Amino acid sequence: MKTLILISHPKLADSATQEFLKTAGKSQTNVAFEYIDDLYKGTKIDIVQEQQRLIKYNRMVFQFPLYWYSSPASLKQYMDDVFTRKFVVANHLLRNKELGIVVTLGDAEAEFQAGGSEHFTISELLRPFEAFANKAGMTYLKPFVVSQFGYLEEEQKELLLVDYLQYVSAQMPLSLDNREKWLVDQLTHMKQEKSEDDQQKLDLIIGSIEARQDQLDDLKTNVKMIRDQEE
Amino acid sequence: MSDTTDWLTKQLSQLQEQEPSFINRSILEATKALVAEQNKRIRQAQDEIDGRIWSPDKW
Repeated sequence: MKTLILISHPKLADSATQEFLKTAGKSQTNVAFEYIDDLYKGTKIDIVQEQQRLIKYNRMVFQFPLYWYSSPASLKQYMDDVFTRKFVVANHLLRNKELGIVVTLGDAEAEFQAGGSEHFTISELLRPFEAFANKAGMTYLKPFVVSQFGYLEEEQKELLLVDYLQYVSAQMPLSLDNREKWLVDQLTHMKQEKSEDDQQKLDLIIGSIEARQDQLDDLKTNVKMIRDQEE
Repeated sequence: MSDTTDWLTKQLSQLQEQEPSFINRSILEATKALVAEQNKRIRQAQDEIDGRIWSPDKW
């Protein structure tokens, strides 16, 4: 599975959050980044080249800070230019791909709900992207929200990093089963750069995690069988 | 917590302590969380099986 992350951010170099996410994302071999604002510097954007690039990926992720309850202007410009009617509606070239949104907030996410100071939910505010995904025949993924990155503690950043990497590169939905498979892949990859002792340790860990997942699957089958017999 | 969960958590913590890369440390931390989640779900499923098998309705 290949993912393209399209970043829209007028001041990318100043953003610690974007730097963090980009450094994390680059650790994944199947994830590529494109900085939309760069495409609009100087020469005219090559629409056909962009369309050709997009069709190579299975998952497309729009990544941006929330600017007045929407994306910065460069993403809208990109969508208007590249997503032509012929490309999206007539030729269905985005059909069956996934569309994810990574949105960063300066305010607390908890305020984005009825009764909160922002009043509207993130899902409501991002509705135009969802409508686009629907029209294009894409699967719209649950938006990934990063709120108040600067206030996060080290351990929270560690967990955010993994959640983000799973959002961009793991099989959806992010069930326990799919998260387990993704983590086992990462541990297997990590093994390559380790000493022989640590490799053996990681092999035992991986074996044990996989055995427990099998055990859990068996238990779930048994529970279902018993439940089905009851009714 | 089961013995396996204890053992896994300890092994992962040891690897984490000597790990220089932030990304790898994060993956090890998330693996610890996965191990805890597996432990919880295995226990809950076993409890549910026990509860349903010993239900008074079946006496």
